[in-house]
Amino acid sequence: MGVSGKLGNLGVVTLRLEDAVNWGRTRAMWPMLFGLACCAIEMMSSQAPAYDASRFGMELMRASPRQSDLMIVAGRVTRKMAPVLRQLYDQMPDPKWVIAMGDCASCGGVFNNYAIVQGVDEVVPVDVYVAGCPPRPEQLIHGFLTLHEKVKEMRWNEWAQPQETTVIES
Amino acid sequence: MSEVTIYIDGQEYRVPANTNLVDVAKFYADNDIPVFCYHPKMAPVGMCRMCLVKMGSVEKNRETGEVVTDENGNPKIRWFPKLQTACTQTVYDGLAIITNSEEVQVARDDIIEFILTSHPLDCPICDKGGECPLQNLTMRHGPGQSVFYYEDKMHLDKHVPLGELIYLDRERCIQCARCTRFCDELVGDDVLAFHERGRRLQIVTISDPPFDTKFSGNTTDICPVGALTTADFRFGARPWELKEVPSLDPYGPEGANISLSTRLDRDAGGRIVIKRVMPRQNEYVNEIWISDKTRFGHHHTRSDERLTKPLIRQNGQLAEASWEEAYQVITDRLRAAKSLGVIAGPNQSNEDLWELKQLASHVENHHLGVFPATMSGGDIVNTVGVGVGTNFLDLKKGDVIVVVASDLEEEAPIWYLRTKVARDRGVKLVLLNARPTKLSKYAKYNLTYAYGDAVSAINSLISAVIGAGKINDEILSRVDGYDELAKSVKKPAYTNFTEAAEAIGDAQNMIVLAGSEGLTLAQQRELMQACANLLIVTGHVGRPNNGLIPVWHGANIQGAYDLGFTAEATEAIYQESLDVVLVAGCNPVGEVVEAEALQNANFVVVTSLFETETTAIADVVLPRQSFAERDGTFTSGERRVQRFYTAQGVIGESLPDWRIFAEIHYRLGGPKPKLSAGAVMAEINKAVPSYAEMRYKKLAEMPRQFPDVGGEDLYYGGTAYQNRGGIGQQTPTVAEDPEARLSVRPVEAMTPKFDGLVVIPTTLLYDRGVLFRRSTLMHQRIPAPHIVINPEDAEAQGITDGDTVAIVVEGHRYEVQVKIDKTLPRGAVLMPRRLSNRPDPSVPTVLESIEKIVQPVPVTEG
Amino acid sequence: MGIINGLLTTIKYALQSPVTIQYPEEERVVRERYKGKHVLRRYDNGLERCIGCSLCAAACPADAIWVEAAENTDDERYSPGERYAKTYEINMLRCIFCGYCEDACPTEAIVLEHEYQLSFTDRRDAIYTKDMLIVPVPEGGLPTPQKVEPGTFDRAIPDMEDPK
Repeated sequence: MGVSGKLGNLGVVTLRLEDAVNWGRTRAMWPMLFGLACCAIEMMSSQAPAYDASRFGMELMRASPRQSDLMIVAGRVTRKMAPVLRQLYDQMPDPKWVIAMGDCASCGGVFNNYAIVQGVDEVVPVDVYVAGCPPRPEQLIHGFLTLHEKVKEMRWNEWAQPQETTVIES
Repeated sequence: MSEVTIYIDGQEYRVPANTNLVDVAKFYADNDIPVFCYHPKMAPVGMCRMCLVKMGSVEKNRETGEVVTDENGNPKIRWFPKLQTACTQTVYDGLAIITNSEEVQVARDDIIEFILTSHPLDCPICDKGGECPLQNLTMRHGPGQSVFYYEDKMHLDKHVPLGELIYLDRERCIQCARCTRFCDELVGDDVLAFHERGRRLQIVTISDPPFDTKFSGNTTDICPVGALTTADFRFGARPWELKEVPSLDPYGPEGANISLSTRLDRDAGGRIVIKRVMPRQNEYVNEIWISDKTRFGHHHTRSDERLTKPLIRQNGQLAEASWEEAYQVITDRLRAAKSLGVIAGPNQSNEDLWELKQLASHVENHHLGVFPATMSGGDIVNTVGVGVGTNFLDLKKGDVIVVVASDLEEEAPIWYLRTKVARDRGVKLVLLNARPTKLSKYAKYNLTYAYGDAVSAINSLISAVIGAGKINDEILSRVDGYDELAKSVKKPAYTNFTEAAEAIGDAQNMIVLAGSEGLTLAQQRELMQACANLLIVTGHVGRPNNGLIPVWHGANIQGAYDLGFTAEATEAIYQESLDVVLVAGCNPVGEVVEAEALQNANFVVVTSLFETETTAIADVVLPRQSFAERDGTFTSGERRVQRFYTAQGVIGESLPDWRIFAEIHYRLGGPKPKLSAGAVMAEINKAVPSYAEMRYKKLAEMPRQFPDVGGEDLYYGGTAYQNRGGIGQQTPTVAEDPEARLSVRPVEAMTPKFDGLVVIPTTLLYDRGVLFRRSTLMHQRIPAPHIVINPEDAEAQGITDGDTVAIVVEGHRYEVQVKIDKTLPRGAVLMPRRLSNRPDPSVPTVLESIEKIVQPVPVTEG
Repeated sequence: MGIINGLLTTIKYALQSPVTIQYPEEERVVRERYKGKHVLRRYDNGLERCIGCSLCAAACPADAIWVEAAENTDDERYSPGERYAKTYEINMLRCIFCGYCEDACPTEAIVLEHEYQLSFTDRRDAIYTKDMLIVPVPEGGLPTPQKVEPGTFDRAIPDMEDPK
């Protein structure tokens, strides 16, 4: 937690702006509502009561990329789907993050063939890779926590990431 | 070839007569009769009993000879009462076998169970696992459960070195005797033997040094289990992880087909490297054999000492530079060049040579030389070389192989092996040499001449042929100059060649293998012409299995001659002091004393794999690629143009030679560099008539070969035997055109008279050449620098076996060991090339002085 | 009536304690046969079970395992028999945790354990090397490489489960 100190009963908390902003970002990260394959089932499960992603402020899965902060690539991405994925990513507002959930999204997994993108980091910048085929909900949540750690480590000059201008024609 | 009818599992097949049943069943009926001890390249012994089949003969009416048929019209077969071994059976008309009955299956199951009684469960760690005939046959016939007690398994030594190259696992050996038979029967090196009997039976090496044969690696290939493994590959990878790339032997003139087993390697920085070298079946060239030099000499391809960047001499030091800078320096210099000498190394591919020639043509006064410049007469080979379709295996009883002035085992081991095996089939071997070699004991006629006198020996042979009336009259109608030749050989120097001459005259086929031992370049050229004379007047030209094979000292010397490079030009380059010298892929300065003259050149460009004595005098050094990193073609001594393919990753910034030369030529105003070696070859196809048909696609054609040795079958494993790279094509000779005129020319014996001892340079298989010495595994096999001398000469000089002496030849001093050989003629001192780190004399030279070095007695302190 | 039934269901669940598992503070116990991250096991005397046979790599449907073998000597012994794994790497992002490697292993060296918390910010971190996979030396055992008496561990597949 970014709280660096409390001063008695003044009711005042002082902390660095960086920490405050990062803390805020980790507390309401809205994933985009889309799934590509079997991993999506586990992603749904992580939203269900047993795992309850709302504990991390992630209960709101937005069907619109304009309202999401986090893209969970849950499943294998075909070459045909890659431009669509990139378009969705481009439509997300900054700041935005990407989790490659499962083997296929991370590196193609067992699908080492011409039809599957061998890791979505060919298409979008990936922040966290989650192993598993598919990862159980805990593993995805572990991925969230890894991402939170990464976000908390960010410095202010990294906030405004230069927007990649690559345009993939669909 | 006559054909016979046989019946396999009720099916009728027409197959060639006098062939082995197992081979035939596999090739024609796709029926794998399992074998362990049988090998298509060796005589059957019927030891393992794995190949049991039900056998019988078709009943024939004794009077009419007609096949008796049953009521269904099928031939009636009289079955033998018991199962027979298929491997010991030669096919005959009416032979019938059953391979799929229960009786046969049970017999095979039992044999497998029996073989497995003492075979360890080593498959997970065994190098053969995955390509093992025993493993495969166990999957097919194995019992699953043994009736024998597990505790009764014999436990034997697992790590027995048979020499430093081959390891024996005694537990795994199933005593098929393939390895001992290969050494004894095929190679003729009696180095392996069985020791003890029964379950204690074991393979031992009975030679000193152990396993002393130049073909030892082949035993690991033919071993049907993992009992014999090579020290080089041991645990290197599993066979299924290896990618096989067809390639060619980069050392010898035989053009041995090899398969490079490649795999990614962490130790080599994650690059793809050669894990092992396996033979690739080519019945025309090397069958399924390769020498140990080919097998274990591949380490130069991934040596850490490889050059990775171009080097340019600045202020006397070679400094790394970019390719552009190097090209700039070279082109600037070549534009102003007054004369250019080009020396092409022994494993420059045809594509390299072509681009090199195009580049050289930019300078008007240029010489195209080849290295090593030991032999000449590539043009003669193109006239009277062996006919298209030549195969040593086709030589039959009564045919003749002549070997002149060559120690074949050291210079071309595959030809040695094939000659020796041909001799076992009844081919008469005529050996002309100044000293006995390993082949001598197999020769029908050992004709000895004095060193340097090879031409008179051949002339005497021609004289004897004429004297015996064995001249081929048919061919004389198209021969020019016969009368002069007949006149010139009237007085033969050697008169005892009559029997050999008669054998040559009576032979249906004759192959002459001509070497260069003890000859100067001019003498060697005359020898080639003399051999051509002999072949022409006896009519042994222009047909398959007839003609001349030169024992070149390198993989692609023939290609170099075909494209206009000569050894004479190399001598000229040494003698004339040229403005610019370009040395492509060889180390003349470090290997021959004459090449010291290259230092006088104003500008020297060298393409090299390593830093050598030649790069030390260079102004620009360019890193070239080894044969494994690129593709191309070599032309063998039999003029077979064959392809090799890209196997491993590129080291540093190195480029293939053809590309380097094309880039330089482009900057000098030549055409744009081609994109591939294949495109260069397409240009050669258009420009060189004899290479018109040598298109890459055609060279890669792969007809089925008999016997079928490779493949994914159960036969005897080893996926690397399979040839997927093509068997190549031979370039046609002039003599094959029936209209072509052939000319013979009298050749004078130019025997120089030396006083005293003469140093004869010889070639050994294992030397300290730039490439081969990177294979540290082979260092024990490379002899120390030495001379071989007759005992009487040695006594006269006051030296004995094992002494270290200092000899002076042409002002150069060498410290060498003395080996005494009483078979050596007096006056000759053999000095093998490339054993020391000093350049050697390349032609016979007078020994100026010999002096024993007294070794200081080591003083022990205290 | 229907609306009362529905209300009853709601009340029933409202009175139950929440089902949410408080991961990461609280971890659900996985089933015995759950396949998580691999470990490479040792014999009781500390020798590695893995003999570098590469059968796991051959069985792996995702091509996630990389093995390079080398030869044991009695002076530097890693495993019984002649061969050991010089390099052993598993790419956790490729692995699909199917357990075929376990099935293929002739010495039961590789076992998929219950660890599943595997997420990485860099793909390269996902390659687990032999040091990361192998279990610690058991009590009473010695670390590898060991110097042993010649002839003690000749065979790759030991007759005994845990040779002395």
